[in-house]
Amino acid sequence: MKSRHWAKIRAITQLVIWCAFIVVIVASRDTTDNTFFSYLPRISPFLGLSISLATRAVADSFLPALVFLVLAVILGRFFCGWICPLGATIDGNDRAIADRVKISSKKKISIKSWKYIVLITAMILSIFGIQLAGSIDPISLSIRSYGTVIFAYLDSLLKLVFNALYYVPLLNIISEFIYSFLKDYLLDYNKTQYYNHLPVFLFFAFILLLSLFARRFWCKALCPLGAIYSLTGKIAFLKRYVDTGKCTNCLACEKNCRMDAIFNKGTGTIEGECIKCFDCLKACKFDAIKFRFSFPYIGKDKNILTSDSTDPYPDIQFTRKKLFSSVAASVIAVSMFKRKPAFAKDHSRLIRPPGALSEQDFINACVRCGQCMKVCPTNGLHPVLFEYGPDAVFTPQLIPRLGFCEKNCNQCSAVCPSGALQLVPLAKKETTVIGTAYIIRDLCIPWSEYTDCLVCEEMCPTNKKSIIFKEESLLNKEGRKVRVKLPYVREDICIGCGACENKCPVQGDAAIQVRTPKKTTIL
Amino acid sequence: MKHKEHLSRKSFLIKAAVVAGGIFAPSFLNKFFNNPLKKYRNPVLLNAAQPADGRLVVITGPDIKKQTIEKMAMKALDQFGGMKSLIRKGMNVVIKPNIAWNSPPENAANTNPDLVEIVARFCKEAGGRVTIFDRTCSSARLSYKRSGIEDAAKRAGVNIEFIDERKFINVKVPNALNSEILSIYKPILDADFVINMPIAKHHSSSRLTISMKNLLGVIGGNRGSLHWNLHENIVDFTKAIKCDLIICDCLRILTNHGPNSGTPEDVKETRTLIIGRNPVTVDAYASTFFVKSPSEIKYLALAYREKMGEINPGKMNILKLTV
Repeated sequence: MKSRHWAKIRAITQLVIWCAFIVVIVASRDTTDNTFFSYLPRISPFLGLSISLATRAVADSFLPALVFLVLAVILGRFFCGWICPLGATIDGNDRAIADRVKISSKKKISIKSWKYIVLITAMILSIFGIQLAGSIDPISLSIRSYGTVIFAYLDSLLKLVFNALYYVPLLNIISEFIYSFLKDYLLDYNKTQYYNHLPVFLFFAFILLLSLFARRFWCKALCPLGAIYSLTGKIAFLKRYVDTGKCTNCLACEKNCRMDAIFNKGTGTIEGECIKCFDCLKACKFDAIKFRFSFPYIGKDKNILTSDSTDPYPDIQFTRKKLFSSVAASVIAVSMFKRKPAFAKDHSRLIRPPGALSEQDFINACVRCGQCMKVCPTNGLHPVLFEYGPDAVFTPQLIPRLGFCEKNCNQCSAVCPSGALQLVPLAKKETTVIGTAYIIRDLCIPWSEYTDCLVCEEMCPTNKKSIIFKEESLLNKEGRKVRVKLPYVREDICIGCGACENKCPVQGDAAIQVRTPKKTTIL
Repeated sequence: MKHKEHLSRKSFLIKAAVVAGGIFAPSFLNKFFNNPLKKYRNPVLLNAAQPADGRLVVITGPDIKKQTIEKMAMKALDQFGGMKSLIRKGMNVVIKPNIAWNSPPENAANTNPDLVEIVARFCKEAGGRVTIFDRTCSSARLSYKRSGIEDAAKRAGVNIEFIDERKFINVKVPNALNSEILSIYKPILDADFVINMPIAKHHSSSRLTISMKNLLGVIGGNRGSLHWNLHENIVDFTKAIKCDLIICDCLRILTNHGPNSGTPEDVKETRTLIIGRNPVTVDAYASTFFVKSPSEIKYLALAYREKMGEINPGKMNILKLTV
């Protein structure tokens, strides 16, 4: 194989893997079995490490990440250039936008050390039970952004367009044909729109817009997973060699390098930064570059620079000073995050999906990938933002008014990669309590207007009905005697699925609301 | 660095107009095409339907195996001249079973999938173009799957589709008791032949849900608020939607904790099919499995008062058969 083909092979592989990633996300529209979806975030060693630190236990579900870590020792930081869906998105975005906006070509080597600060800060925060990792891990971030936001936007855009075309005669024959095809293979079965979708999108857009400062700015400067791979990249076997006899120091490779990993007039390589994209192979007109395996502990390393250039090795080492500053930053962050702000709501309306661990354990273990929200068949799971304190950002909550917890369904716990939601077998779903419904009698039609309604009772899916009614004779507001069926909740068997709150025909806030149990406990 | 090109007033205005147009065009187009007022301007007035004849065929079988159900359905339909005489080639047939709940068949919350499959196949063999749908209460996708009716329809080779919210139209109901304007799913009004296939179930607020209450599954709008004055509304649905045939699934009936949270303990195997043309008569006969007298059910009493059908089982024209 000719060496200059490798750049093309890499680009195609990256595109194929990105497409596969999208296909997996689209395939998760199936609401009956999505267990395959849970493997997606498990390829990230960063998530595995921070979950292990936060939960004080080895996160064995993240074993697939080890495979990539071993591969990274052999092939270097290839993950970023070949596999990472966020890397692919950033590359595509760079091509489309950033390359057109002429950015300064001055290399900023110093920014490369920022990512170690991010990594160490995230690790320290994990130890203190603040899971920042899930919010900034590239895999988790891509699943969350594509799955809940981008896909939902695409979905609503298509629905808007086709609904408009539906009323246009003649044209709607074609459009409805396309629409039915899309509904069969692409769009979600129910309407998808997420509460708090905009901050999720803005965070994603912000990362893409960082490319205005430099190509792959996020990967170079901020990505914590990139930091791990750049550490392994330093000892990787696959290395770049430059034949100084052939090299004319034309700087073609150095200018083309999207990671700014080349220095010393094209002859030197910052091994931890090279993502093995092989663009330099393509750019070199003199065939001076070779990628070869070298095994540092077996025989002599042949990588000896013979260039007489005096450029020093670029200083991206993680100095003691930076280590101290990142520790200091994390300590400040811990003190800030652990102190819940005054405006943070109490947890009485925070309903976690079924199978969730207790609140603090859940926050520790949740990787914020948003897969549970993507697969929820009623669109009832939505990302939390800062409402419940800064450490709960992007965790899922059930908002029953928007979508209730479906009876024979356990998809959210089936797709959870980290065990923050423990798998609930369908047989046990009936008895898995996530909250309790309370009737607000001033809003309730039978209680306040003395006429029958009973939609909540009809909808209640628990066996033997946890909403019951008593038929009573009451004097209505005109003083006439009427017989009314008054609803009551049986708190002992209510599981808090929220079907009643969702279907309550009262406008605005429902007259029956799911909360965590109203009585506080001693502990 | 090169100095930035000067932006003239004209080009600024043009650019601003393009951007503003781009931002407002979708919402404008949406308003133009989806004008919510347009729907309410002229509700379609329905013809007052004459009450259909109250003849009933009640057939009981030894068990509820698929072959037995097929024999039962075949024999009962023969009393109406067979499906081939009811449905002509190319007719647009709508089957409206009860698929409202995400619940497996053994809990008797949805119509028996075997029965749906058999009837759909009869219709298809008679040359009809069959469509099956229901506006579900649980998630549509899960209900279609879990009830087994999606698979049943696929086995029968007929079309099953989710409710399309755009196809509801507003109609004026003649002599309505409570709801003068209802939003009804257009395909069922346009159909040449409508088969209503309810399952007889206990229901908390309407006491029973059979064929008349089953029509709630093709009514649009806020489903919940239709439960205020539910009995009057049920009579209005029956006035608004004409069903050509009612095949009531009493193979297994849900006697308690209806309509959705019954367990196999609440299910009674009655192994019966009730076939007729008049929904009031069918419901009145089916209600005898649950209550002493059909007049205990308020909506049946109301329908009787509106002269929509006979509800006294003693005065009905019933043909009882067994397989």
